[in-house]
Amino acid sequence: MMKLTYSHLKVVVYVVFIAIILSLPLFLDEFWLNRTAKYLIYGMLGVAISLSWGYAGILNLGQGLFFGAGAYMLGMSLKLASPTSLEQGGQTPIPDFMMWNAEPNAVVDLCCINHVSFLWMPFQSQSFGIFMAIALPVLIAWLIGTIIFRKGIAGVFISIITLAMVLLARLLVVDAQSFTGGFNGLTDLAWFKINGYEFDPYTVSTYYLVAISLVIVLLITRVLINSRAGLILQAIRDDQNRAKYLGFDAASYQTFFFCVSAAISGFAGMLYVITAEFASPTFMDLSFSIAIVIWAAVGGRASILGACIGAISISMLGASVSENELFVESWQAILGLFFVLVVLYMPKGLAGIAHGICRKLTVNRGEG
Amino acid sequence: MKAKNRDLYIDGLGVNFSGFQAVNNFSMVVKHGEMRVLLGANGAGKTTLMDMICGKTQSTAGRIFLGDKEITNKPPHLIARMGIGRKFQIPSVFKELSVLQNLSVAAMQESTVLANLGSMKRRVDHERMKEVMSMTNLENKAHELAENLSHGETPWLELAMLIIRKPQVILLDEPTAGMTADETLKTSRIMNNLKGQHTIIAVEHDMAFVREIADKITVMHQGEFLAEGHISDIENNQAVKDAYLGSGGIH
Repeated sequence: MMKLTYSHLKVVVYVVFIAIILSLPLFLDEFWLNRTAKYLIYGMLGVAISLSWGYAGILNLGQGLFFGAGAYMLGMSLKLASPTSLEQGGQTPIPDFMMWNAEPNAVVDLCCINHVSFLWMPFQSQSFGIFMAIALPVLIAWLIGTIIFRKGIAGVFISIITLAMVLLARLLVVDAQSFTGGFNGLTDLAWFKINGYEFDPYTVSTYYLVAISLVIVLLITRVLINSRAGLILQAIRDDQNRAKYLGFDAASYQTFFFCVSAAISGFAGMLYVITAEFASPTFMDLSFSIAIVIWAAVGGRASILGACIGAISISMLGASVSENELFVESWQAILGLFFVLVVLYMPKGLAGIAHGICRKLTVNRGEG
Repeated sequence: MKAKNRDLYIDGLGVNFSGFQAVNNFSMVVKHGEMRVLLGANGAGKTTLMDMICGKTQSTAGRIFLGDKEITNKPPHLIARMGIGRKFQIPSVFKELSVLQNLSVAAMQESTVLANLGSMKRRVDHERMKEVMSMTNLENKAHELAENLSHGETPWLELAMLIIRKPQVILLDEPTAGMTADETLKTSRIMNNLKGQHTIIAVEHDMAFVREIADKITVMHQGEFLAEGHISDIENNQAVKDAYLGSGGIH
């Protein structure tokens, strides 16, 4: 019999995980499929934070910025495609909140109902919304990354800057009521459409759209971290100077993977809008960005799949538990306590323990 | 001297840290394959000189040439790519990676992100890895994480990471700092193995070690060039004696 090696075991774990999420429609009704799809999207955020925190050493406390940007970009397209927007009586579809905020004698057209509404015009095309849902987060990440990594800013300062950025973005979104829908966000959205097929959020097809997306994101991320660039990235995380004096431009590696992490988050935000049918400034709440970090820490930030499973299971647990009256208020405190314990006693999270067990079970250590 | 004979040429180099002249009008020529030791008391400017060569510190006067290419004040990663390898005083390795992974990173031929998106496999020269690991006494540690290496092995790993790149010039800042006598002996063996293949410039205080490895010595004093020559010349040099009088000379 062939000996089971550590890397074989890793493949087995991935296959089992993928098999489980792809077979869930056999067991769950459509209501639960919709909920589970949202947890899988959180899992995607876990992958993104594991890549930037675990592999690049960049603790991003503002992951919600990229998630929110992705959500709003597609949300704008879906908002314009909704029946309410189409029935406002103008030449072009107009979001209802723009009507509410319009001047009495304003022209009922997307071009000029208010000063900034023309920016919505290209979003009449859903493809543009999809494109921007990835492009905008990447652009923001590239700008932040180029500045902070070129300047050699590291560690906690990156966390503070990203944290400030997400709060700033939230403030701007809430403030620009007539452009973004303000505090209410974007609601009453159309369904996502591909070639005329509509993705009703409460169907198996939407679930599979999310589940297969997650599988693809997981596999692409794995390929990236197993590449030569992925190894160099980890080297830079361990000792940026050593890498620099070996001839690697550390900033370009950090910026690249920061952008990949942002692209994944933006993609997750886009899927969330399709599944949840709203985009809200709460995506850019500090507590949400912190929650993502906690999921990854508990699951294991040094493991892509660990962080992903951590995000899925904790958000699932949190949602079910807070339906119980006893835990409505206390869940956040319990989660916080759990986080402290994990940081203190299991710095590599649950995946760290799983890795340990796997290494004991197999002979060929270090080959993974 | 013809450019092809010299690997490193420093001309009138100086640096001024807001008023403090750490290195002043320093010139030096290091020939191909030479093992040069830099001597001098603390604060003589040896480490600062190395920092300027590898791009860590920006010089304020003078020029540095690697072969016939000028490298003065270029970004560190470009200088490294051009052929200068630097070992730091405090050994720095990639702690959470294995010895093999550390060496793989160092041996990477491409430097940009996009050129490195391919897989690790088939790009690793296992023969060369083995050769370098046995040269640096790490042959049994291939799968060990760098953080688990002993105090003496960590600098060897850093040295191995430099050797595997085959840089034109290697800069070593106190290669034996904190080593036991046995480890120092093994290090001098590694160095003697490298002699002739690489041009090496080392800062070192251990005179026994210096006698063991050095071809030629350059002495610095208060940021300036003081003397240059073989070890016996330096030991009998009046200027060196004067400069180190009171600190008991360099013996």
